[in-house]
Amino acid sequence: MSDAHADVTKHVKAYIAVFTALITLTVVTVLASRLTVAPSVHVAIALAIAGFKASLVAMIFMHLKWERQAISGLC
Amino acid sequence: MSAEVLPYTVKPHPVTGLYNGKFGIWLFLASEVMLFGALFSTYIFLRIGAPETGPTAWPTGEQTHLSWKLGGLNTLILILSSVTMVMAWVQFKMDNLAKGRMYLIATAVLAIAFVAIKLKFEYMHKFHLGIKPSTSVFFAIYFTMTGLHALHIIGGVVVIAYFIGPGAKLWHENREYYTNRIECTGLYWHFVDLVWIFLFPILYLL
Repeated sequence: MSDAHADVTKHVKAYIAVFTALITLTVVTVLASRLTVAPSVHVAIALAIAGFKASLVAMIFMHLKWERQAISGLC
Repeated sequence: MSAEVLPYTVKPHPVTGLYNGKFGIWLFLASEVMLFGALFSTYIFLRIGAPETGPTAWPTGEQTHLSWKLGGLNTLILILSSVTMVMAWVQFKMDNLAKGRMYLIATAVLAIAFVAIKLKFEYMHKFHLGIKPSTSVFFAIYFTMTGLHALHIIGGVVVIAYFIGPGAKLWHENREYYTNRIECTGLYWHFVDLVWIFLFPILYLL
């Protein structure tokens, strides 16, 4: 049981880190949309940030980081 | 018969490496990716195909009447609800029903706040301005995508409410089953959050 507790505590740190990163990146996305650059650059920046945020959610919140076997099996 | 237990309800299946319930929810999420993926592709093609000028041109930020502040607020709400969802699972994992339940309630409240903002301040505001899905191509795709997403949020609230209320009985029968169901609910919930992460910039900012 204590092992499971230690594992979960490790998870919590990751969750808090991802939470902070997601909030920060949301602010960055809004700020980036105000830059005066070509529309295609806007799209590239916004989708790059969204893609990174999505991978954080999938890897940490959805536990994919800890599911190596399933992923290697599916790929 | 009754003593027969389905295998791999808590232990990982040797082939998938996941307990069966989790494998099932991942298959469902794969189908969800296709559903939303088709709509995102539709958006991309409509956007690329829209003329530069004229009445059918893609609307600029001001013409869409979308408030990035409301969209951003809803983004923060959903991110926070993802954290409370995963924290609920952590509490159940640590055998704490009361705290886990509090986090589930927080998740449900945040989800309802999201839908309330969406309906009351966004959709109603548009309807007051006479904007409907038939107004333009942009609003057709806006209402379709955000509407489908909002339905997913409402579906999530129903499931979360079930596990706060009557579903919590399972906790007293089998904690592991209950905790795993919360994990699966969470997987769905994070996916819904993930869809919004893409919807917010493409509709509100670009």
